[in-house]
Amino acid sequence: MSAPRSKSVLDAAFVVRAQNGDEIARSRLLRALEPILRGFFIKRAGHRAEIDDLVQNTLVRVHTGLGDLNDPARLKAFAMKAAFFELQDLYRGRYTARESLFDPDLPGPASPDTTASTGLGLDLDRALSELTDHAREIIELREQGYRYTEIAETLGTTEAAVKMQVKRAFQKLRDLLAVFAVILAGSVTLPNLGAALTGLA
Amino acid sequence: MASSPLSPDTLALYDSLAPAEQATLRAALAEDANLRAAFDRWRAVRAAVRADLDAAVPDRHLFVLYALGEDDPALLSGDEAARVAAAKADLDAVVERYPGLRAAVRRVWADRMAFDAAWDELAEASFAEAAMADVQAETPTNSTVSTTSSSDPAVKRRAADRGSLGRATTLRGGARWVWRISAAVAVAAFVAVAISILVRDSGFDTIQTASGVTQVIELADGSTVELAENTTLMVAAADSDRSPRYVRLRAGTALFDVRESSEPFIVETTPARTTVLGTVFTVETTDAQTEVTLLSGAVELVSRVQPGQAVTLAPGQRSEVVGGDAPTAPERVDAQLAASWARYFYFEQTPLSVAAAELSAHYSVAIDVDETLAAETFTSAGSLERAMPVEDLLDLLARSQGARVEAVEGGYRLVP
Repeated sequence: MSAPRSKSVLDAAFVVRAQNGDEIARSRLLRALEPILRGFFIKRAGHRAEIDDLVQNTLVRVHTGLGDLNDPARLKAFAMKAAFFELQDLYRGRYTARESLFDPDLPGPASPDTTASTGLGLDLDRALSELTDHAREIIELREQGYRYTEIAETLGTTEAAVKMQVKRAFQKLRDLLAVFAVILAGSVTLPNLGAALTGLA
Repeated sequence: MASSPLSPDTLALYDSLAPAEQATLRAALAEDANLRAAFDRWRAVRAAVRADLDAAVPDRHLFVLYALGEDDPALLSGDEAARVAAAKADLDAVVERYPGLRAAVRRVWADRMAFDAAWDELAEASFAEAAMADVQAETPTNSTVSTTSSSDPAVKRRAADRGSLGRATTLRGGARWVWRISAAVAVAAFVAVAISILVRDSGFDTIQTASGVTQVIELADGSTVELAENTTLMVAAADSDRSPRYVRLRAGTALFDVRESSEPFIVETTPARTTVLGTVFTVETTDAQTEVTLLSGAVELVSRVQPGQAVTLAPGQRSEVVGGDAPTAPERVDAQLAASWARYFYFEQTPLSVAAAELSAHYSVAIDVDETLAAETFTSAGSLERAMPVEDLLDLLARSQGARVEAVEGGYRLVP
């Protein structure tokens, strides 16, 4: 046997052949990428059902976009970005699925009607400003679609600590927003708002 | 009222309930209007946060490219770089405004490291297998990988182009590292095998230590890096344009002994950047947390997300960057303890009495210093190996000070 070839030459070679219409090379290229993508997604996504979809969708993305890869030596960065795009699509899909579980009575999660129907209006900004940066960071990550375990991993803490922050944010906002709701219903007059908020702080 | 009381936690964490808990919550919501109102308000808050984020980052793929570009612009194609440049001011502003987006940028950086690791681990074998399939399919007379690849004129031309552009093959870069590492292994007989020398990536060579193995790497500028077990370090490839004084510590723990120079030496991890001129320090990192302990000299530590808030460490101090936070205030620690996994003791301008106390703790034996020597200082970089017998080490130490070692009851004594 000859000395083993550098992978950086091998992968570029498959790209060039695939771009030149060699369907066998294209198939082998995708097959060679599959275990790499799987290895990556196992580390970063974790759930088997998700991983299979992520791998397949990334391979489709590579397959369809291969013609746009001008420098065959950049396959790695190309495949990486395809994988990351799929991860983002997964995150986005997670919260849609999550919210639909409780949706029979509510409009869509991001609909403007949601705030109107709950009588929140502009007070929401004020309520959110009551949260610590850390709590906002966690809720914002969650609303981007990350799991609590992934948030903990990103922030260098534990899942329990992350959930504790969410519970505290919920408690704080529940009290605040209840006051706002009562105000809007006319039970508390606006001049008393400051006192009401102070009492909750 | 609900038939059974519902924990506030159930409402707060409604988005991560097991199916049975979801059913309980749904039933409770159907029965209790107040609960339903509180639940709807909470969901509305979350929906509003989500709507804000969607408006701030309407294109999440572009956000990924932005984050990657912040990590290493070379990862982007020309077209991608142009798209990111057009959106950069807006994205800078929203990343500044939303802590969750700053964290998401860091997560992309960590994803990148994980992808690098998966590629390094699997790509070579996977593509070699694909090439072998070519061999078996096209040349049943047991030809070789290179024969098959070069049978394609387009491939041959590409390979030649890459060579003429000075992009050395992995084989060449890898061989050079093998030589360097072999030299280090010869010096340190206790280091056995299990060193993985990984492949070139964007001008970097990646070096990884296995469990139970430490390794010393000498960089092109004369600085040395000692890697603890299970550590991954990226260093500039010898023929790349990158400076040898810029390294990336992906995971694990490393001790840096940096040669003095007017050019800063930079250790980058996912959350932090450590900048030094000439010093000895350890860095321990995960994707989310980086801890730096300084043995001698001075270093500056910043969060990569908030680079405006730097912390400067003095010898014997440590600081850490957790997530996107600024570095913690320096605190005094036992720096020798932080480096106790390393091969050498590191003393710089250290009074003999202090060094003796450190050595005494390491060897669990009394080491006394004559009072005429106690205030003498010495520097030991790289000469005092922890694995040495205590008598040999003390002998070296004493000779460097023009002193000698006496065996006394229960231990040793350095005398003039």
